[in-house]
Amino acid sequence: MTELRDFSKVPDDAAWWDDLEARIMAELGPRVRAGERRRTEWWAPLAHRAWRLGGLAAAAGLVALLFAPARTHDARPTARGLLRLTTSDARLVPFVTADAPPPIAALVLAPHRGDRQ
Amino acid sequence: MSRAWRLVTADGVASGGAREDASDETLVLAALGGDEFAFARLVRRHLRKAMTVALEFAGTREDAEDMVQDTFRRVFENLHRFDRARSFEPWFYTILRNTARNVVKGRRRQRQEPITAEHPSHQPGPFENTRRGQLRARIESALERLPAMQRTCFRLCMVEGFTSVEAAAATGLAESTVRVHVLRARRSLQELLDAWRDEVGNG
Repeated sequence: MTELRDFSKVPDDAAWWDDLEARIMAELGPRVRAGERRRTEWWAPLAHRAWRLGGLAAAAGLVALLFAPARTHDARPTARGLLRLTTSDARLVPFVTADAPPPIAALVLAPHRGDRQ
Repeated sequence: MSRAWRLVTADGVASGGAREDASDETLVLAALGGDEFAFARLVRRHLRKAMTVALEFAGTREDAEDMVQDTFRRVFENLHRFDRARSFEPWFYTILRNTARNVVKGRRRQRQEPITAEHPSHQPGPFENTRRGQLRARIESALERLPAMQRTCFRLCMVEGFTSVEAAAATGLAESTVRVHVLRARRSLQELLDAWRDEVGNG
């Protein structure tokens, strides 16, 4: 099998190798020295984690969707809040917000702001 | 053409502390810092093997030279992406294989014919009239008849002296697969040569 080396396609000529090496370094040597690199985008360092980061973003979106309805419900204005917008008289609030409507007598007998004046 | 980097590397010490025995990963770090000598050492260390592998993919020596030059250009341009926690060689050969694929595709598009047509048909010369010449022609012809990956693994390991680990890195195959390819190629060649020996012996 030693003669198999004769089948090598690789050139033996040392000068040819020196020339190839010199050509490569003539092109790249100055660029290495100058510290030149291909311009990279800010996200380039994250590129190799793209799948993982994409998965995390999708999971975060899902969690946000799950929690979004609860937040919307909490933020809905209450009847008490609405009433406060329309009147500054706190005595009227129970008539609007109570579970059962108050008897009509209570409405009639409720002290009116004008009575005090 | 400046060859100052070669003079400096001759004494075994390059600037930036990149010594002759420095690991590839250390040389990458030094080259990233602008150390031209470190990069020159990387080129010198991998040039011969890169050319050997490129010759397996390319039809001609000129194409192989282009592949190797393109590969080192891409290596330099992507050096900052190299993960120094990993080995340099597999990363390097991946770039070489991708470059080779692009070059071969480009050539096919240009010539509108399969790359295998780039191999010149073997014409017997005066040397091949001798028994040794005939044997050589037989082996070359048998090698050409092997499946592409078997031939590549066989040539790298048995002709060019790559270890199976190096051949695995160069081809992107598992080391065990490389060994199987080499074994099968050897068997095929052995069978062809036995047949030829019988033929010659009887003749």
